[in-house]
Amino acid sequence: MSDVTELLREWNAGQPDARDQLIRIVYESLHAIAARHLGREREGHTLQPTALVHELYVRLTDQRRVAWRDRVHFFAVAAQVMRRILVDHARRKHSEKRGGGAAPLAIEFAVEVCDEKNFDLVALDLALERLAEILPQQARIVELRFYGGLTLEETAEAMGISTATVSREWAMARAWLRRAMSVR
Amino acid sequence: MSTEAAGDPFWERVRTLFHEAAPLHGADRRAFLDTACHDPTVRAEVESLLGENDQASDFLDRSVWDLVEGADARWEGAHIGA
Repeated sequence: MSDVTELLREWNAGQPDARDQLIRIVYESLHAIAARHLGREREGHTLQPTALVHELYVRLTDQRRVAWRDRVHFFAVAAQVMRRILVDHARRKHSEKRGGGAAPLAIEFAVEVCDEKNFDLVALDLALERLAEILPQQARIVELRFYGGLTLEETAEAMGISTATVSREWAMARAWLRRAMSVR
Repeated sequence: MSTEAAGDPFWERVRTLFHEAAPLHGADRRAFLDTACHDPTVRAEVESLLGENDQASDFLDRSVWDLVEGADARWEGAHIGA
């Protein structure tokens, strides 16, 4: 578990391998946590919007040793992992028509909810990739907020910018993405 | 981290104008853009995005985690009923 702290440090120091390893670890833990939350023995019946990520963070790191900068990176990683999981599930679902053989994960239901609302997760992923090429800061904000579940304030803190800036950039990013997704 | 904000000059221009024009409406907005923007390509882009932004929408209002939360409650309901 403690090697996550080390990996965060290495990623901070610019080692791309560390990022890939982190994503794998976060992905696996996310599956484990989600499965447990969906098990019979759990106490509450809902997942708090950001509780999963926070729980993941506590599980994976020794908080006393992790600097705030690493925490920021952690949430960025968790958001990226969430994005990847969702788009993978959405792609698989579309290609296999009726779901894959994986265990019932809350994430798969999130994909279903999106489908029912005609919200295209794959299209969002592609649009976000294009946004990242022209306005990388806005793309990061969307990633942290939509996939990471961070509030405006948390996003501001994570990125070291003001809440007002996050709010403004978020508004434009939303407009850009909505337009990109409606024009096809 | 803030260094990555300096991107494509076209989009930086669009971004700046969007933020300045977003709180304005109608004739005020047109007057502002007439003065501040002389590039028709930039202006078209800004106006298109402003039009999108002006429409009420819940697009991306709920994060993935909110969706997971809602889906989780439904999953439980499905099993109670099963």
